[in-house]
Amino acid sequence: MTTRYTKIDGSSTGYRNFLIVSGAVAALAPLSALLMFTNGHYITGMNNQVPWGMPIVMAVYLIGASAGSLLLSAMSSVFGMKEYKPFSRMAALLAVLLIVSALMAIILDWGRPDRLFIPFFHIQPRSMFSLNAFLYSSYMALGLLYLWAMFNEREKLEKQLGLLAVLLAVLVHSGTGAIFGFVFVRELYNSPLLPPSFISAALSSGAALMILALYYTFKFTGRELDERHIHGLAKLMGIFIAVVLYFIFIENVTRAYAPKNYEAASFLLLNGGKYTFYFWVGLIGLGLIVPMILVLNPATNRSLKYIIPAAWMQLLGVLVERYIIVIPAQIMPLEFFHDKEITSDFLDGAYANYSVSPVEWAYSLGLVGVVVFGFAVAIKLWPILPSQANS
Amino acid sequence: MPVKAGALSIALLVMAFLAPLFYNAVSPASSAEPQLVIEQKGKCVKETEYMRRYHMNLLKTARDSGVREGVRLARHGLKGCISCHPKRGEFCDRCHEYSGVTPECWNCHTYPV
Amino acid sequence: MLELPHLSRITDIMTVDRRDFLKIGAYTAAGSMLATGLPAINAIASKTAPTRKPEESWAMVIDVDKCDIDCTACVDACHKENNVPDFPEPKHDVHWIRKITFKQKHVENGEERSLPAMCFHCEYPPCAHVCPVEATFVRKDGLVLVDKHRCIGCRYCMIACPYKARSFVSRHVDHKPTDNPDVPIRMHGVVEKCTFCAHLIDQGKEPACVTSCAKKGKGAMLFGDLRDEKSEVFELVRSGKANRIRSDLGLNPRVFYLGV
Ligand code: SF4
Repeated sequence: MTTRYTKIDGSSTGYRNFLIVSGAVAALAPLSALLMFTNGHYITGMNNQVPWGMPIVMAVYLIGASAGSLLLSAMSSVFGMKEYKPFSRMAALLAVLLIVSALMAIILDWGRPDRLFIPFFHIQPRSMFSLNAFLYSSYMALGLLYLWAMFNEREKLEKQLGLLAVLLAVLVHSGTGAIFGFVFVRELYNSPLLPPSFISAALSSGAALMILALYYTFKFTGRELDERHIHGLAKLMGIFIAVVLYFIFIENVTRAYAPKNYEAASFLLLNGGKYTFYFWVGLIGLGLIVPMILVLNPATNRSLKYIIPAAWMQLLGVLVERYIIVIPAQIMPLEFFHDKEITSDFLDGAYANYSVSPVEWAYSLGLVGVVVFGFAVAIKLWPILPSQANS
Repeated sequence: MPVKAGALSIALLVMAFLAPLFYNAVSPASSAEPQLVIEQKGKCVKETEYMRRYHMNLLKTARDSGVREGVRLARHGLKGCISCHPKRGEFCDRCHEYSGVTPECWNCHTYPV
Repeated sequence: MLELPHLSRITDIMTVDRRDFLKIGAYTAAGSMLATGLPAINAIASKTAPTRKPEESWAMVIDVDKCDIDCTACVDACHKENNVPDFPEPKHDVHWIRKITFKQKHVENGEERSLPAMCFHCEYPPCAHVCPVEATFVRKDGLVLVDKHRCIGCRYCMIACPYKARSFVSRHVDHKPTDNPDVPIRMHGVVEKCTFCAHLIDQGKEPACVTSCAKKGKGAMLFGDLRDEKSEVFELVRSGKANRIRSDLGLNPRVFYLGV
């Protein structure tokens, strides 16, 4: 049951073209960040009512996928699930690439990314951001070390590092959830359930990502793929989606129960216009329930024809979930008085507007490009893919 | 072929790092030391030598104590400098241009003309 | 960071719970020591002449009944004093103080009234708690200030502030000849807000909005030191007639309102 890993050959023109295209897409991220930095953020859709936009959505999303991949990668070494061994390297690599991209997403979105090192000199232990600066960077370093241990076949070290990495991944993503969950002034953020629900979403999107990464790399490199791996991952994905649904249900019911939250809850669930649509159709329907049924129903869960679209839906569904978490809370006006209507020329008391601007689209696309490009380069440089994915 | 490409990229990287050295080697020797116009000699908070080396530390301390503690060390802050050296172009900028540093002070603070 | 003893007075007066457990959060940022040059400290130590007393605790009381709905004296004065930029789009515009018009919900033809709202300089400011680099901090006399030399522009504070007191500078700002030279302008990419005119307070003056309200408005705004038992703000706060906005959040703002 030993798995052999090989580098890809990477001499075909297809590969070269892929590198060029994904590299160009990846370059969009620093380029649009440069635009934001030199012009100021008025070129984005973010404003004083909605200070956090697509870059933060992407950052949270990428961190989630990263934590999910790392947890999956550790399945074989830490939890002894040998059937996941063949793609543990792949998953660890993706985890590192995703966290790099997520850090880029956060830092380049600052108003002053040139003050990069200030967070390391001035620490504020009450701030989730300050704590996360250390969590994220140590997580990245640990991920690299873990990969190194795998490359050198140091099984014992791999196991220990894997365990550490699992703990850190859970912390990292809980910390990310806490960024929002701790904000007690906005009803749609404040929730103790955000950290655990972030982790389950991380696992489901991590599984989806792994299914897609396996499927497409094997397809393009012409290796033989044992479908049983995909089936196992799909089942995991289905289970985690169920957990995510449970968390979302509890969270919203709890919120909607308190009269002071009627407005916020009904904004999200009933009359929030496009946000309500995203919530019910994008997230609950297409993002969670449909893929869950596809991968858990015995009639469909043996066929890649259904699993691959389900994985795509779930991957995009979690992106919608992040959007639903980050944005609507800022769209809701902040109340000064519970019983009075307020207006001002600073748009107090009015629902804010946010639409993703072209710069932010380019930025988000670029961040994905960074991951894809990094992955394509790495599988040529290091033995990451199993030469044959059957155990 | 990959070996060659690798060597080439490393060589390029090294060249890029060394570029400033090459640039300085070929460009004409820098002009003479900057001359500052100092009208009120000997009135500064510290001697010239000290100021030349450490004025930024004084400014930073004055800045932090002013902003964060509300203790305004007027003589050691930008206002103190301005009170004796009315022309920024003949004072701050000369040395900063010479040594190639671009402090951000005047992006926000006003140097009265 | 958070040194409660000197701030506790505002809490004493209102006799709400002290939340002493927050002291756990108090600590010293050793990192900041590294950044300062030691020679400079030596140089300054001998000649320091503090311009302020550490025991002050500022507060403001605003009488809403005296605030005219179409008077903007405080806003104009503030934006002039502090060189607050004017950006074309309202959603990006920077506001340090703004006039808020309010009326009772669910009634027809409710009476419209207005009040000025700025940064309320909370005793437990969520913005300072979430700021990753302590760019937003609480000064000894209770003012919550932004150190724009340090702010990285992450905007977490804008998410955390319940009063929308903060604005992000999203456009380039140039020096203008009409600028007040005592207050710096700003570079884009940082967050800013009302400072209670800390530069004026440090000279022993009152904030620009208060001065202007007394001169051009009806004198609705009062500013003073809560430690000074003879001051008018102290009297009003102690009388219990003054309310704070969203006191349910427990942030203990330093701005009190009469008549809402
Ligand atoms: S934007 Fe500036 S002041 Fe606000 S939390 Fe970030 S660093 Fe602190």
